[in-house]
Amino acid sequence: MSDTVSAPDADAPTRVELLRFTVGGSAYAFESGRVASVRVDVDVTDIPGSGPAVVGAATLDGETVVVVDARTLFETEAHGPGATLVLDRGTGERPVGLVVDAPPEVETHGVERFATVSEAAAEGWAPPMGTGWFRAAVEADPWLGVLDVERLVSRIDE
Amino acid sequence: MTGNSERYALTVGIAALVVGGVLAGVALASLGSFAVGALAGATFGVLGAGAAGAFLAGRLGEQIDDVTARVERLQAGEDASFDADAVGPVGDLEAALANASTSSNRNTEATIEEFCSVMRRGADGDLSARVAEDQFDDAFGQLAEDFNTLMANTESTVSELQGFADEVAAYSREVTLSTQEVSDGSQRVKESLERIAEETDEQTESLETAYQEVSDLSATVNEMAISVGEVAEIAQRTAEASREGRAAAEDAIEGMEQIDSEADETVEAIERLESEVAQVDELIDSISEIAEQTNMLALNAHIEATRAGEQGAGFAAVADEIKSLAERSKEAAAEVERRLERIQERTAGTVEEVRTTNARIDEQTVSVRRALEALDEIARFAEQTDTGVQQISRTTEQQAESTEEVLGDIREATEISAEVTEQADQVATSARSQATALEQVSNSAEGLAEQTGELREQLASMEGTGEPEATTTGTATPDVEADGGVSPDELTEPAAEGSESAGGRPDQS
Repeated sequence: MSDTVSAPDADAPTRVELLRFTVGGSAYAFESGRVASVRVDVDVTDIPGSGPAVVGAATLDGETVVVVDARTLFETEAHGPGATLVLDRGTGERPVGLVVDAPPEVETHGVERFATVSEAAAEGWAPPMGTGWFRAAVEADPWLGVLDVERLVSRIDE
Repeated sequence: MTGNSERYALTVGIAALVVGGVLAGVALASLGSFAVGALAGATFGVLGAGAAGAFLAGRLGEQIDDVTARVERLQAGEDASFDADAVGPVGDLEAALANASTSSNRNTEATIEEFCSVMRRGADGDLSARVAEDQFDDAFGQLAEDFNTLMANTESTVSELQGFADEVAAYSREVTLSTQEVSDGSQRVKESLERIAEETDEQTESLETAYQEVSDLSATVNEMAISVGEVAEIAQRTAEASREGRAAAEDAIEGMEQIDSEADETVEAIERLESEVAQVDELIDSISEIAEQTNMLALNAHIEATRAGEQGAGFAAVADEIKSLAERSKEAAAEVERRLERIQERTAGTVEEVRTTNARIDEQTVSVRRALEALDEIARFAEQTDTGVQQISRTTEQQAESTEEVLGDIREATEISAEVTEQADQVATSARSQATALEQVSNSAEGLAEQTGELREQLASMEGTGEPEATTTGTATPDVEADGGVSPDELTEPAAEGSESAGGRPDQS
């Protein structure tokens, strides 16, 4: 369905595990391999001169992590006690903490339900912040957008 | 000479008759103080005394006429003798004439003429005429002296009769006036008695009306006594009901106090339950937090297992199971918490209800205590009412008795009033009869006055004219009583006695 998703082969899994969470009441997801851990009650230190979405810096498992509030980033309001997803950028870069409404739920979807962003947009999917934040979308009611960590981080820098 | 003696005798008799009758009547009237009695007494006295006076006067007149007739026969030259032993006033005269008949003719005729002259004057009413005693010898001197004594006594008697006649006239006038006054008084008494009779009739009617009213009052008093009895019974029942109500109120207070105590215990138990539930809620919160943390650990374990690839697959399954258990634990804890919240809500509601009920019981207890106090007051008032009603009952009984006595008194007064009316009628009838009798008495008194007037005129004609002659002497009264004659004083004695017995003039009252 999407060229951004690895093409299925004989050994490729038929199902993909996602971590589903909400930001400002709207559902989003990460591939489970993109989330290193989930934390609550993270002690954050303010970073002077940082962007409005940057909550601060925290030390998690011996590493200094920049914590970003997704609700500020997505320009929406908080709808829960909050939980920090430690995102693994997979490039050796420093992980990023993303504050969402609540701890995520683990769910799996068949690969046939995944679609590229353009396919999903063609089907009528229209997320509030636009489609540039996503890697793919899962066909559901409503559509579930799968965020791209690097695109998200690049938006933080913006 | 004969006519004068008869007139003199008649005069003396009438005078004695009138004086004696009037004085006797006055005496009887004064004794009886009643006009009819006075009339009867007067009539009786007049008849008795008049008869005696007439008898004596007639006798004296006859003697004088006899002596006078013999003297006239001697003067006419006829034979006439005189009894020298005659007694009494006229007898003395006759004895003197007998002695004189033996004296000389010359002196005898002159002397007789002298005596006749004096006697004619006396017969003509001049009782002051006297014979000159000192111009005669011893026989005629004695005769003159006796004659003069006779004339003096006669003059004195006539004078006294004149006085008595005047008094009789005065008494007659006074009797007439008194009788008129008595008649007027009797008329007033009759009118008063008639008014008394009328007023007594009205009083009888008023008493009958009062009797009817008091009878009605007695009936009302009896009805009131019955009502008072009913009120007393009601008051007693009220007092009994108040006592029962007081006992019930005390039981109610005791029960409510027990309920209040039990409610307090219930509230305390529920509050202890609330505390324990709160502790359980805290445990549930801890369980929920642990489940949350377990869930996070399981989630991270799952993430780590997933990131481990094939090697972490089994661990991921365990992590999922742990996560599932943690979520179920969390859900169970949440369910327990919800139920605990419902229990807390219900216990809180129960406590509130119990407290509200307790407050209401307290209020009701206060109300019952007030009711108890009110019942006490009602009982006290009922007892006071019963006491007052008892007093009223006693008073009513006394009033009923008094009313009966009043009824008896009124009945008696009515009877007495009727008797008074009857007696007043009788007295009025008697007063009318008395007025009639008094009128008769008045008429009789007027007749007596007229007769007395006539008597006075006759006595006045006998009084003569003037004083006794200067030549006459001797007013001494001879002791004729010693000779068995009648003294002039005796002629007036009945009147004098009647006057003395009447105490002077008749009682005009």
